[in-house]
Amino acid sequence: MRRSCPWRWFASFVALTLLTLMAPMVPTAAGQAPGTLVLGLDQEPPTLDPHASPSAVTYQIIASVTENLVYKGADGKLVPWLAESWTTSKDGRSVTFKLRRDVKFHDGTPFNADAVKFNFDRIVDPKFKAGGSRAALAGYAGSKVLDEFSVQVSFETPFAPFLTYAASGPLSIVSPKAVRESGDLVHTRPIGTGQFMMKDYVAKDHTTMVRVADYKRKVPWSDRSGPAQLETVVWKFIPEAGTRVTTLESGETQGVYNVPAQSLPRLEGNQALRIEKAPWPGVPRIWLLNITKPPLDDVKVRRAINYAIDKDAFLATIYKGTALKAGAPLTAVMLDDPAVRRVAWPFDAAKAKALLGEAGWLPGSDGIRTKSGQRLEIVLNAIEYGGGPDPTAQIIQASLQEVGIDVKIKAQARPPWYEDNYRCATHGPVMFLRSTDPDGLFALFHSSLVGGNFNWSCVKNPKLDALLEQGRRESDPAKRRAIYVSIEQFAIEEALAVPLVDELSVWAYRSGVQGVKYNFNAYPILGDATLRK
Amino acid sequence: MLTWILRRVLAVVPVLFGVTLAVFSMLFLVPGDPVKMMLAEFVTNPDQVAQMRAQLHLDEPILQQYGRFVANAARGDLGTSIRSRRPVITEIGENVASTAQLAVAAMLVAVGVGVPLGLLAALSRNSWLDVASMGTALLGVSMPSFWLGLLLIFVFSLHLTWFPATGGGDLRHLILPSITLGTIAAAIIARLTRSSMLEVLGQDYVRTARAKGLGGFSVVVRHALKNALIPIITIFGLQFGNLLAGAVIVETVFSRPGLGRLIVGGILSKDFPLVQGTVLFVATVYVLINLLVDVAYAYADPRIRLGRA
Amino acid sequence: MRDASLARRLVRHRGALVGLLILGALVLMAIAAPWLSPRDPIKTAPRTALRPPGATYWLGSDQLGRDVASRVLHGARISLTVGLIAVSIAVAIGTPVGLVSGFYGGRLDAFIMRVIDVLLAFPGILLALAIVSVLTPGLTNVMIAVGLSAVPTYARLVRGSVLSARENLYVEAARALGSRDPSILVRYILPNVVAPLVVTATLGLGTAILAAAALSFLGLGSQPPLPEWGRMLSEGRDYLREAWWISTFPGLGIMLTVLAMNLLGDGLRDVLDPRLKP
Repeated sequence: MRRSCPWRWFASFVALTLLTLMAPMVPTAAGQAPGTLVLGLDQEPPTLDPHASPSAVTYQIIASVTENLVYKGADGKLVPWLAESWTTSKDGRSVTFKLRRDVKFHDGTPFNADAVKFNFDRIVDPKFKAGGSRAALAGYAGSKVLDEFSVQVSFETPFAPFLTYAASGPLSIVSPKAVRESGDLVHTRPIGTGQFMMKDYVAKDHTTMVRVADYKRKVPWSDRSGPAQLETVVWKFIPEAGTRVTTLESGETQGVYNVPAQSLPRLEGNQALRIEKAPWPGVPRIWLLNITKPPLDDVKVRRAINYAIDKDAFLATIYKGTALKAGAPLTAVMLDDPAVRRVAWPFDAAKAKALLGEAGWLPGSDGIRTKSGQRLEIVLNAIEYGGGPDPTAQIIQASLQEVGIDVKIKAQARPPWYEDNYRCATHGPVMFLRSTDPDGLFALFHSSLVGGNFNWSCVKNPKLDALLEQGRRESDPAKRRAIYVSIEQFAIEEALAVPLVDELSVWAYRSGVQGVKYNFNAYPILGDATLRK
Repeated sequence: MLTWILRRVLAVVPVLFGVTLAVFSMLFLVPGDPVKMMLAEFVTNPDQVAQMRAQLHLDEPILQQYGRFVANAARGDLGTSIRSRRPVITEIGENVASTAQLAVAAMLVAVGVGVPLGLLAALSRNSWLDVASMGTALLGVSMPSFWLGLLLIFVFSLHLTWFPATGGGDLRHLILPSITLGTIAAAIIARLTRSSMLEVLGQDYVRTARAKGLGGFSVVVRHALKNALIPIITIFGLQFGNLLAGAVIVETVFSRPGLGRLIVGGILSKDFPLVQGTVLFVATVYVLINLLVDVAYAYADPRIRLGRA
Repeated sequence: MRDASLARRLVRHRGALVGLLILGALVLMAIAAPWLSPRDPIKTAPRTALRPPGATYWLGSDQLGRDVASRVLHGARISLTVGLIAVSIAVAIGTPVGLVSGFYGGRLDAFIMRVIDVLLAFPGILLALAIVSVLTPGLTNVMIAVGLSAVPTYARLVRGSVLSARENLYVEAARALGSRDPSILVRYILPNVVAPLVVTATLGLGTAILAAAALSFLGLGSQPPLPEWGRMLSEGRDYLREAWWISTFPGLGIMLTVLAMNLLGDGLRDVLDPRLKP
């Protein structure tokens, strides 16, 4: 008497399903070809197209793939790269570049004045969704091809930061043919002129670049000519910090970016590893105070907040060994001046309390100050990374609690976070900006960028606007420096923001990795890098 | 039999409709303007906002929007993700295999560990073995999956480096997540197996078989086991659903690609089309799996197969 | 009379006794947290961050220098409250729905069962996730979401009890004698419902605490600096290698609480109605 056994059915159903589903899963080959360097990054770039990306991670990767007209090394000096020489016009409104004649893109097309014009025109085209590159060409009036290897780039008003920006990732040069013809591939396989070219891209996992074998030129940061030493570089996306560090310790990767502070002591004690740090240029980790939203519309309250925040607390915990104290809206590597340092707010909780009292906020029953029956409450706009709340926000909250301010942390994902910043809806976000020129402050404080990127202090001050515009136009370096010093002094005295820490770019490598250099952006360039087992 | 199946299938239809209604209504219960969220990272003017709103048909009357939603869903069009600008169905397609692998592997762990454990406990009733296994099972049922996951990561990834802590793709990345997810289900199955087995062993026909001297231990166990497993198969559908839901948490713990990460990431970035589409997909799969299990079980049960006895 | 012997039987049940003891300890911890805590759970002390468990910090200090032991104690308060409120919501809504559905039957019952089927089509935590995605992240909304997502289970349970009670002869007799509906409900149906409801609610408390902690772990629940156990687990994740204690002890807290609920619930089931065993 046959009886159907349900459990046998069940077992075979499961086995069949399992086999079908497991079939595509073949264990990945763990072996690495010699001459391959595997690096671990903390994020996946939104795109690899240098003109479209708003994110620094893109340029970490393509710093060795695309090249620029000029190069700015860690020492801050501008030297020729794709352009042999350049001259600025008398009125300061245009720059004429004489280009190298021996450059080809990775797809074989020639690099020339037409290519340069194409690149810049693309960025300002209203139909193109530009990222950080648009701001790097503010006031762009067009490029004129003078002859095959000469191009004149013009602006409506003199744009002093142009040459510095021309040296940075967002203005790097890509192949016009590739842009016209490769469609969506521009996001995963940008075609540049550098020592490496992109080979593949696996979403959420890694991207690979390989050496250009017939590269003949001498790059500005190197003493020798010719192709790169490494054959292949694999960039892995490993967002989880603990995992990322573990891959370095196990040898699965030979270098990782963004080592968390708590892992540093262990790595520094490991003889097989080496830590390299470089200061990030631009705007430090900073809390922009929304000056339009009470109680932050009162400068006394803003100054009190600056006094109340203990920056050493950051340096003792989450930024231990990975940052320096910040005192100004630009990092010290950008602009360090005694005049600015003098006006910076020190940590002084007593002064903070006194100022708050002066402003009419008196101590309340639960430790929070009140004024006419209202509690002193502030909403801090923070990014929720999904699972781990932002410790920076919590330190701020704790510091301000000490002087009687109740900070509510509004933690949300990026898109609603941006939305709140555009609408000046909270009391301000904690953010940072990478920028190679003090002109970065324009994005931060110019009134035209309220509701955009990145004037999230919602400042509309004509005097400040005038200074920022002047700084853009001024070509004399000494005068320019003076302008930005006064801008910083103004921003500090008016307490438009609370600069927290100057972040360092922290890379950790296995000791067999040598020869990694960094440009002024603190991005690694790998042409001379070698890997010894 | 056929009528039974047909009736069962037809009963599912209103449930699926109800699910689409519930999911559809989510968008309207949201405070704030979803369209503004979509264009958040790019500075926009009111024209672009209005254009997007028209594109999403948000100006139409609600009933019409619902009809469009259901019609699209039936065709496989679950909208477009705000963050990635890609069709939701594509996002689901890229992630469903990973979640399915996890759920199936976890089920294997659950059954492979849970049934023998329950069996052991039942056969050694009231001994220290029984108490120990049931005690372990009780702990397993009480343990948060995300805690277990972190513990496993700590021991096996960070210290022993036997298995990777995050990511997906191959067998090595599947081990820890499936153990995490499967352990808790294993505990449930172990307890159920034990009680079910005990119940069956106490039945008359088993005692009769024993009395008739029907050869030893294994014969009795085999017969009893077959019947003891029936309640477990009955809850198979329910358990699979729990695994699907539990996968949401486990995928987050292990940063593993899958539907769970789509949902959680979507909720955090207020990417409603993505959340709606994925939730609808998971609920539909769950309903269909339950249907399949019911039908398979009914076929196996001769009482139903041969018509109402 | 019945209650006294019930309590005695419960206490004699080994599992239930252990559960009661653990629960008692947890409730005590929760209530006495402000006095038992060595330090303020919210106060940061950055210079003493990441200290391992020892004399100064019994369970260690976290990444901002906060005392893990104090946070775990205060977290008990939060978790127990959240679980209690969530289950109360579920019972408060589910019971009347189940009662009405089971007692009156007919089209109303059919409709309500359809709705319940639809809600139960969302497996496990998915329903709570969907509800939280509509509301903003926050502990209150998590309580609501977890509570609402449990309503179908309780409604179905109550309905089932009502249906079986309704068939009883003494109900028919009461009706024949002219008793009105409300009094029948209260005197004959309700007592049948109470037992399974209590068992399910006790076990459900554990489930609710787990679900709420899970939602907080995912970042959808409690906001900083609240020392909620799920949040603490996710905060400790980045420090797993260097400071395992940050995640371990809150997780232990969750497990013990749920364990107590499970032991108690199982014990109640054994004592109140052994037939309820699956």
